Amino acid sequence: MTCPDNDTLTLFASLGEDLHEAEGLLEPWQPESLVAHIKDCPACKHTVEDWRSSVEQWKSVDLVDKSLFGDGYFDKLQKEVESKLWSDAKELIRPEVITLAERRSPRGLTGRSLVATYAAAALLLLGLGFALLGGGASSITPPTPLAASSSASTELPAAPDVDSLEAQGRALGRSLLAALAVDDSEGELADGNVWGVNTLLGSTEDELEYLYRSGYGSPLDDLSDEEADALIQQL
Amino acid sequence: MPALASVEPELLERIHAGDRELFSSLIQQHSRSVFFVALRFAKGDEALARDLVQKTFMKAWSARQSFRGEASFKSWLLRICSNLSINELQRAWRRQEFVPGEGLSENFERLASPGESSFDQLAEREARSYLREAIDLLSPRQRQVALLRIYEDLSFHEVGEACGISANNAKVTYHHAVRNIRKFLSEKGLAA
Repeated sequence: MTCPDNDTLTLFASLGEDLHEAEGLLEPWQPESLVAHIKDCPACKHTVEDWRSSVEQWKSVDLVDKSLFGDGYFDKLQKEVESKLWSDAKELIRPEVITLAERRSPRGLTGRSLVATYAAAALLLLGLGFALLGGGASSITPPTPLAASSSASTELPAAPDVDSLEAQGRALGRSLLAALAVDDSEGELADGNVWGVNTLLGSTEDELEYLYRSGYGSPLDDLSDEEADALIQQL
Repeated sequence: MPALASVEPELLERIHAGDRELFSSLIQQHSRSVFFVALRFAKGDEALARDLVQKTFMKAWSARQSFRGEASFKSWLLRICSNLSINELQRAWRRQEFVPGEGLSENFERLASPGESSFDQLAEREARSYLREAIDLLSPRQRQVALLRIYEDLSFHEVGEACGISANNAKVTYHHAVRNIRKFLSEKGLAA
């Protein structure tokens, strides 16, 4: 066999001593015939050995001295990495939810947000109505009855209990949100231990407002107008 | 040469499920390799290397669902690390914080040769300096392949996985990298 060209020889040298590494780059017969040739050809042998020894030299002159970094260094590094990783992993969940809500907001009030707005308005009107018509009786002096109807005034129904009605309104609103929480996408949130149904039922108004604003109400976007009307009627 | 290791289905499932205990053990197992790869890419800047290690594991955690287990977890981590390193250095170069071959030797000398004074050690320091310069002048892909092959002792298959290229591409790229390093050292009058 005549001496191979320099490119083939150095490529062979770069691939190392494992002949399988030459698969795909050299012809199947080449590696073994090169080995046989190199054994008998001092010039080619020198080229290959020189090539490989230079790589070995580079390995020995590592760009960094690994001995400077002991076990203690990596224990500390691992603690740092894990500390930041797990603390950030907790915080990563909530901002994603907020982002969805923010992305949705330019579309205006549609679907679920529309229903929620109606629900909030209905609850507000309900509260205002009772406050003006009956609930205020405890704090506002009733108009002086005409003498002719003085006997009738004693037959007016008792003023409803505002606190009780307000509590009913809250319970109704929470029931609606809790019912919606079985939606698939809400399930994902629950699986992620972000907000569960129990969280909802135990939430204050401010917390419910936060939940809604942070995208909790999104599945209502999928409701048809009829379904939305039906929900409003329930309220 | 380390054998190519694909990931067991059960292990893959636990990674996908976000098993923190497992992930902690993976951090412990691979943080050294990731750190040294980052340190070489960061040209000896230890603070940057630590930051890259942090980002690598953060990225691995957040993208764990995309790990398919066909490559070893180490190859996957090194791929994240080297890509982050290249991006970080490109940003640094744009900010003029890093100039290839200039102003970087202090980092490596501090890390690699503290207190050296003998003739041999000085010669080694000079050799390391030239070698570093030669590697700096490689294309990002050649540098990535050369560092992983030479210093992490990865197989060509693993290098290919870590760089997102085929094993054959890794072999050819590595060969070109070695040739370029030898050429540079030869021009500097050093026996390659």
